Amino acid sequence: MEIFKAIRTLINISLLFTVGLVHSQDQASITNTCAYKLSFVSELDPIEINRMHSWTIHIETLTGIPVEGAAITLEGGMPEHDHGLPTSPRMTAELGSGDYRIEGIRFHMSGVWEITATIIIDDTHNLCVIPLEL
Amino acid sequence: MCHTFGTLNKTVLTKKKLINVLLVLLILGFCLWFYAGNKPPYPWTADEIKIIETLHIDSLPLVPKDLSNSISENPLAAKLGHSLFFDTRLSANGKVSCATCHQPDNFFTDKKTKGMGIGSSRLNTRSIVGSAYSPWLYSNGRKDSLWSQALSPLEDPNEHASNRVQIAKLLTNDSYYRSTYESVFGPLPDLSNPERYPAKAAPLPGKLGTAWQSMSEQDRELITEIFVNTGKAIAAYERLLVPGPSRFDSYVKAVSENNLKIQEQSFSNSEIRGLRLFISKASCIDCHNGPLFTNNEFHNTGVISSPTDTPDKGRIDGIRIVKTDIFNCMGVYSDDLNQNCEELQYARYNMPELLGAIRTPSLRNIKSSAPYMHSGQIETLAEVIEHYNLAPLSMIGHNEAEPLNLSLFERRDLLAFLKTLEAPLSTHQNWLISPTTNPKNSL
Ligand code: HEC
Ligand code: HEC
Repeated sequence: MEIFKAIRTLINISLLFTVGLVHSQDQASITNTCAYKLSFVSELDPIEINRMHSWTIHIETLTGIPVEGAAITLEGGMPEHDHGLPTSPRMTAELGSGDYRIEGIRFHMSGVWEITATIIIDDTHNLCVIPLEL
Repeated sequence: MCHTFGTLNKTVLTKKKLINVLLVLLILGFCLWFYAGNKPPYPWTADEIKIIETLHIDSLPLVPKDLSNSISENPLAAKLGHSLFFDTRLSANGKVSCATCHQPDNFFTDKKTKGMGIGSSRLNTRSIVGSAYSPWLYSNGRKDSLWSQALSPLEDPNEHASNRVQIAKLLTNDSYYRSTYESVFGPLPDLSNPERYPAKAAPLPGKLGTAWQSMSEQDRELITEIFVNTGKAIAAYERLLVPGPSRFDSYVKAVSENNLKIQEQSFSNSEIRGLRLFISKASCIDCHNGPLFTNNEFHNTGVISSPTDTPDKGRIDGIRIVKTDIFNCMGVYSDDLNQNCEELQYARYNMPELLGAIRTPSLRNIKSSAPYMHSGQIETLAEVIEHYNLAPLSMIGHNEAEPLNLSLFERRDLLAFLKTLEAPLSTHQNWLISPTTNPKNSL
């Protein structure tokens, strides 16, 4: 039991940390475990719940070169709740210079969200996690 | 003899003692209950104030545009819709109108377990107040606009049991309807030839369907166009039904302005604690968020079906139905020429979490809209709170909510808070009574 609690606290702290990171850099640069650096700009800034909006996601290599020709899918949910996103967002355009347009994003609760962007380039899938607190 | 007497006396004595002890306990219990009710709550933190301000009625934006209905903001269309909403001639027996189930005096619900028209509706009547803010209508969201929704009860055999030819004929024969319709939508055709237009027909099973099939495709199209416009006019009226400021809203305003006197006048200590539970420990605000107290999304909250009903599959059915509905935003009757239809395009479907998921209802005026839940399963607000406190397993799908472990005192506070959301609509009174322009209704 105690160990369980400790692990949970640890997870919470680390989550808080990553979330803090996103916030402090104005939701622009994102920590990830994938092979790329991701950042996004939301059309709705600050993001509000219950409003449909779009994002522009920017992908570059770890050395800072914009990545072109990628396909992106977004999924996500709330780790502390039992549900995913209320919509199925889709990539609708590659805008050039490593920028991609994702439409159909909406959040329906405040709290901690975790968005997973799957970036597909030449059949390799990269899972990049975007933490977010609303 | 004497011996018997003694024991008797003893029993009487202990009984008396017991009663005294019980009495003292009762008084103590009452004091505790009273004290707990009046114990001053903690002051609000800055973060909490931000949260409760998101629930304030002033954060309600204007009713969002409906691109699929080009006349949705036309005042004359709203007037036409107003008459149609109250007109019982739009039914098989001349006795049922939208207002039969959506009663203005009951915040557009009917106090019944299930709606009662020509027959019994499948589910509990939902309010229409604030519905124009929702991308989806009905508890499973099987409609994606107010106009498309309005067409459904008109031809539902258990609700109005009318049909589109009869309705089109009413619009062309009634002089008020005819002139108003023509000002809004353009000229109405001549439907007087019974060979071309039978008295009753609709694309439904049975006699109505046979009559419908006997009509030419062009004539069927003509009728359906008028039917759709009927829905669009009703929708223009329904957009006007928005909630007004409640005691809760006065309290929040007083908190924002740090006006202690008004805070004290508008909210009791118990209600303040209830509000705090709502936004924290009880996490009601997760789903009942924003100024309408709903995110208009679909959640499985494990509400048990009535014994006579099969469990409602909720959103998993709703999204399947709306995707193939010819009256949806992408269909030919939609005015959204660019086919934007974001909601439909980006909707989720076929996901396990949609099984048994019901659209979150607004909690404004919740005290006056019993019974509760999608098929009126729960009678009282206290029982609703009890339901959330236990968070039972779902009969279908998976209950998202967890047991809350609220004490007796906490449940009382939460209940007191829920009752502060009562208020007359901000809609002008004239819209809330049957219009007299329609001779049938002024009788
Ligand atoms: C016999 C009763 C009855 C009649 C008559 C009726 N309704 Fe309803 N209405 C219901 C019931 C029951 C529901 C909820 C059904 C559900 O959730 O699936 C409902 C739901 C609605 C909703 C959805 C509200 C929301 O936010 O989801 C709207 C809008 C509505 N009705 C409008 C109308 C209009 C317009 C008419 C007249 C053309 C009408 N109703 C006639 C019973 C009725
Ligand atoms: C996970 C999302 C969620 C949470 C959390 C939640 N609700 Fe609900 N609530 C719903 C849904 C969905 C319904 C409709 C369920 C149904 O009809 O089966 C509902 C229905 C209700 C109703 C009945 C409304 C009506 O018109 O029939 C009340 C009252 C209510 N909730 C109060 C609360 C309170 C109080 C809390 C906190 C203890 C709470 N809810 C927490 C989603 C939620």
